[in-house]
Amino acid sequence: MAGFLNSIRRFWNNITTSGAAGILSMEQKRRVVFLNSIDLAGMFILLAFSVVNYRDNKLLIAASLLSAFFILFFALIYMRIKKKFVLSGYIVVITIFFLFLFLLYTGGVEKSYSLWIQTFPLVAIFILGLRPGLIATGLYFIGISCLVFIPQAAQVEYGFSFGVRVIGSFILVFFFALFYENIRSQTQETLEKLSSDLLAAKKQTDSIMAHVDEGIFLLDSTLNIGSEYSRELEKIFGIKNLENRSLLNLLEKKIDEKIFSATKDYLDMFFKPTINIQLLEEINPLDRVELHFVESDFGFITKYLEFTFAPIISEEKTGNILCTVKDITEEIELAKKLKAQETRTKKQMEQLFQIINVDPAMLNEFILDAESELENINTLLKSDEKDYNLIINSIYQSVHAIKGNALLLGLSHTSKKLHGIEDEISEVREKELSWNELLKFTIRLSEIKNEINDVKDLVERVLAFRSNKDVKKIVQKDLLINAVERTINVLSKERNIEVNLVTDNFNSKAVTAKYRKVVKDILIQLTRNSLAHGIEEPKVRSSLAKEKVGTIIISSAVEDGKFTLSFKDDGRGLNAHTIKEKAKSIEAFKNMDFDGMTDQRVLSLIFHPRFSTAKETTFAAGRGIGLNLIKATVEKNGGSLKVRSARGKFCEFVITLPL
Amino acid sequence: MDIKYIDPFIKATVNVFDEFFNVLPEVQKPYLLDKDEEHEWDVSAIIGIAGEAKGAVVISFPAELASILTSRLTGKTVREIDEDVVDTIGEVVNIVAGNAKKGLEEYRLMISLPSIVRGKNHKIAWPGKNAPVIAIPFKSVLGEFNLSVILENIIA
Repeated sequence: MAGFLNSIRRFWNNITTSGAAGILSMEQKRRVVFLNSIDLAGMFILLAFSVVNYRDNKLLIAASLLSAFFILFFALIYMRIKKKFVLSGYIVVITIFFLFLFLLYTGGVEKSYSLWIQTFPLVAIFILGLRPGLIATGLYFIGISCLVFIPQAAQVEYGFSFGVRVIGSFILVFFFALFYENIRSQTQETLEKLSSDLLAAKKQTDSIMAHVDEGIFLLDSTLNIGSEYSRELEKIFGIKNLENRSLLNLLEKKIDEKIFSATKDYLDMFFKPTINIQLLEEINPLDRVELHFVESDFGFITKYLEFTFAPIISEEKTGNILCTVKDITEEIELAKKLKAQETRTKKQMEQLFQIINVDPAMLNEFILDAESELENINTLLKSDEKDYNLIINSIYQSVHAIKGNALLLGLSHTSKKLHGIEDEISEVREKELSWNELLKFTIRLSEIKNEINDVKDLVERVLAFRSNKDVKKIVQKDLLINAVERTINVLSKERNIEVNLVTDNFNSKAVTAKYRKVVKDILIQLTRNSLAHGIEEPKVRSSLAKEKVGTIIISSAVEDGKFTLSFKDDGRGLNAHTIKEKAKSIEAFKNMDFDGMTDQRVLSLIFHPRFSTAKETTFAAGRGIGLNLIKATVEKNGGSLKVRSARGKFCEFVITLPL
Repeated sequence: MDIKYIDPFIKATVNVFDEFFNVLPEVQKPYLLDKDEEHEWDVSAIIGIAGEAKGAVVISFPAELASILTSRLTGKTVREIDEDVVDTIGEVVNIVAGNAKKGLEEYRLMISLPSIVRGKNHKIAWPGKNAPVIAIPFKSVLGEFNLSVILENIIA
């Protein structure tokens, strides 16, 4: 039923607005609708009366009514097609003009046509407008006056007193039509002016909303976004048509869950009767908020937004919340980048100063060594090895070796970091190790890799500045001896001792590529040992009638498919008594039977992973893993290690490796 | 990279396998994964992470295991890595992510829906430049799979 009524209404609207398309003025539109309505109503009435009169055998009247019907029908069609409003208006009014005069002339049943004709002023004035309507009504007035008052002018006799009543009521209708049209057109004018003012104001608001670089919008009590909001808001959220969208829905899953639930409570507070505006300003959870927009592939785009909320209070109640939102991502990112860059630059400058004086070839060597250490550990991690303690110890040894090399080159930043990691491992390696600890140290390894990569970048940049000639000259130097020299330089300064290095019988070319790193590690570790524990201070040496300057002799030999390396210093030598005393104080050795031990057995304790005779662990020595590391490496390669020593005179390590 | 962000993913993975496939996977030793390293995985699901740490968690499966898991869940016989397998792996990893989310509640972290990469030795667009990837292998009676993590701490 409702659907049927609706389609009738639509049909009616369609007919009555015939020819109204493209007309902007409301006044004109209304006139068109009125014209069409009168036209249609007239057509129905005319058709009906024409049929009635035909039945009553009043053929002339029936015919004239029918022709009037066709004229009106034509006017409607003409209006619909040609959209000539004024012309079809005249057609309708003139048709009615003559039709009514004709009807008055014929009189009708009981002179009833005199009633119909009263409606003319309404039709004429509303359709044609005030002035032409008045002229038409004036002419009509003359016409009906003549028909009513002049005897025999019409087919029926109206008589004077009946005529006065007809004319009187006509004048009354006329004046009402006049007043109504006057008032209506005035109202219309005001309305049109008002709406054009509003339109202009709306245009300005729209222009502001389209161009302001902040999201501005209103929230209603259900926290939905109002119809008027700035375009920037769509840009910020990357969504069109935000009208009636819930702000909370837009934020959900993009901001932190805690902040999200705080926001929900916060916005609800605006609509509570006890509202403290200042407090609300202070506790705004979206004051500065991170939004993570999920990207199509994977990952996020992060935006930083700044929201402000202000209640719009009317009748002592919050009606809406006025909200602004600003995208401050660029500022934040810039500040972050700047800060990161600053830290990075500072670190790089430090490292740069450290590496600029070091031979690039040695740095390259350092990087290659470090990378191979990490690679070895990674291979171990990938293997089936299940002994976590063994793995952690290997990590420790690698970190230790890399640290030693870093220290040697004066890369204090890197060595400090490695030292820190060593400390971390020291804390746990006595204990039962969990998988979590293994993961933790794998993460540490990744950090070391990062650190090495940084150094690598820096070295490449430094090398780019240096000429090729320089680099060649440096490469030609003996890198093994160079490394030992450097160790001596760094450590002898630290302990205020003097050491003379003799390498006349050392042939670095005899060291095969396979053993290059092994030999280098051994030499550096033994040098460090010697400078930390072996060679005495000049004063002590003098009192022992020794040369003030200590001596380290490194020699090598190749015999029977074996490579032999000897490292000898003229320091205090190994002291079985001191070693025993020291060993007794070590927790790990507490169950040992020291009294029954031979000197040889006591000396071998220095290769134990827990042994160290330096009084404090310094950066350079005293971690105790060094000699153990050497022994393990040598044995892994199928070689052997011997130590010979005379108390107060010398200490010599002889390493044999199969070729 | 902080272990506290990785732990919930490991626990969630074990839980989900236990609950859905009745299999307790065993965590193997972690190692450093070279971004260009060749691998044996055929399907990977990537979960993006943002907030106080930024990066990705990736769970990778060989074709055989992915097929077994799919048959177990859907009841169909699977012959190749088709849309069904991709959907199933996506769903499994989605459950892992949802599970892990509970353990991450106290941190300001957002995790994305998983997206799937497939193909022999497929390339994963790891975020971050120099930062190495930590690979955590899992062993189970159904087969081996791998969880890889790359995270950069935003707040130190």
